[in-house]
Amino acid sequence: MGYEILSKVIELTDSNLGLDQRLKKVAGLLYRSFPVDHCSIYRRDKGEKLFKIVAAGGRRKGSVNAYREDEGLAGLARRSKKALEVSTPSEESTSWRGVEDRGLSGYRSAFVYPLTDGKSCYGVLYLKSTNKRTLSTTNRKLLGVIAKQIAASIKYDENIVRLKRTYNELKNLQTRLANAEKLMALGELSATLAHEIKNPLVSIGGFATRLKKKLDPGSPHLVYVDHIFNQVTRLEEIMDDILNFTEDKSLKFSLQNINPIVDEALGLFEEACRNQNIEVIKDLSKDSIQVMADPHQLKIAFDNLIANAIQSMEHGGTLTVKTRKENDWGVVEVSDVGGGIAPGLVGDIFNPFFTTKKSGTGLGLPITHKIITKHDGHIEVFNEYGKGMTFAVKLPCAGKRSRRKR
Amino acid sequence: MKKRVLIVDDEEGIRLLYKEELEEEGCDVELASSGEEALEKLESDNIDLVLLDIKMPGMDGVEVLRKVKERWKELPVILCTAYPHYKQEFGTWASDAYVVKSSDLRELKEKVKDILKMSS
Ligand SMILES: Nc1ncnc2c1ncn2[C@@H]1O[C@H](COP(=O)(O)OP(=O)(O)OP(=O)(O)O)[C@@H](O)[C@H]1O
Ligand SMILES: [Mg+2]
Repeated sequence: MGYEILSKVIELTDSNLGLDQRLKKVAGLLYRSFPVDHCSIYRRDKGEKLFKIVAAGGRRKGSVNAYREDEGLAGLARRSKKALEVSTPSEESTSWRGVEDRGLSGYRSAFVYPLTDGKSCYGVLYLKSTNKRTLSTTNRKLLGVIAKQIAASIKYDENIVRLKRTYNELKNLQTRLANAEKLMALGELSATLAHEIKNPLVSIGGFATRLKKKLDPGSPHLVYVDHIFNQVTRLEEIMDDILNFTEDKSLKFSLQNINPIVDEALGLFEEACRNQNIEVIKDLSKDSIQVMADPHQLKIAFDNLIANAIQSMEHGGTLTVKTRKENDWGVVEVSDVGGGIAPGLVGDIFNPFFTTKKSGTGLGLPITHKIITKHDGHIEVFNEYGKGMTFAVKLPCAGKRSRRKR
Repeated sequence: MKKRVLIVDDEEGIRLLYKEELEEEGCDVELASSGEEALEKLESDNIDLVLLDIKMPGMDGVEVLRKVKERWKELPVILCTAYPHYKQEFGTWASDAYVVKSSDLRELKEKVKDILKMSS
């Protein structure tokens, strides 16, 4: 019978379910398989210094949701790294050998196992009975092994979570690096291109203007000339965008509060929002968020993000702009409900010239990225395809400790 | 008396465009397609203002600017180029004005008139 339980526990702890799901099944199994009335499993939250209940089976009475790390039998089991076999004189009594434990109320005996791999403690396992009981040697050993198995599966799960986080960070970093390289290549290329393209444009546009002067004010050919002139002007604007982008202007940093900069950028779009039936939710932190910044450049960055958000909501929606302080970072979030972008394309949006718009140049985001990077900040993108998009700009707050610290 | 402007640019289209526009403003215009040619013209003609392209094959505009300012300290020079970059490097330094090339010539003409103290 012992091996049967053990193999079931292993099977459960190994399954593809989420960790909490698996622990729930294990708690149920243990409660049914051993002569007890209650079984609960606690996970240790190292940050909050708590043991928190994740699974329980059997009687609900006397279930404690959380223990402090040093509290009760859970605390004792953690410190001693040993299993405890507890019995109390009556159901009302809640202490054993001077240790108070609220969870003993309603029970006469309890078996408490630390969930440990020998080094760290990952949680505790409680088995409780309303009768006075002892465990057979076999059961005692069996529960010892089971506790180890549970500990191992929690540890494994924590490692996976950590690995996933690291992986995501690395992936993010990699994209950022790749972008940086592309931008440099663009810089060199566009410097050459600018001269080659701008000069002919000046001639075309300039002569078109001269031609216009020579035509009668009523001439039907005026329209043609206007077309030439307008298209040339558009091309020139694109070239200037590129040049401004390539140009390594040294930024003028000074101590700035992010909030008014965001406010000012948002102000430019008031009318557009009204016309497009877009509701604006502005949630700026009451306290000022001080960063070292070039306010003009920063405004351009926010402009671009807000413009994109508005352009994504042609048929109305909600634009949300929030600022807040998060540890040593100032965070500006621009969210829309414009449906986001197909997941396969997210990796491209910071590429120069990538655009899905009829009249887009695809330089808004690369410019924004460049500006934010120069401020030692970064941009995080949350894309919910079909719903909307959020761009979070994170800038290091000005202060003794914060700058340069990642 | 009419003011004489020397236009230095390696692109024929630009030379012609600037020439016609400035003549309309009442200037006499001389043309040069390279830095070398510009320096020759400056020796022989009486020039009141030079419009100088920065990027040219051979002697580039910055070099021409230096030579011009060495010999004719008082002669005003307007630098023209596609690159806004140069604005900081040279703009405040030796030239009298700096214009980023555009098919909209109003800024250029304003600067010319301004320097030549012509009334519009
Ligand atoms: N808020 C958003 N919602 C959905 N797609 C977006 C959003 N922001 C950016 N994109 C996508 O990223 C692409 C690139 O954006 P970017 O701002 O760089 O260029 P653009 O807006 O197309 O043109 P430009 O900004 O130069 O006028 C957009 O064309 C669009 O496909
Ligand atoms: Mg854009």
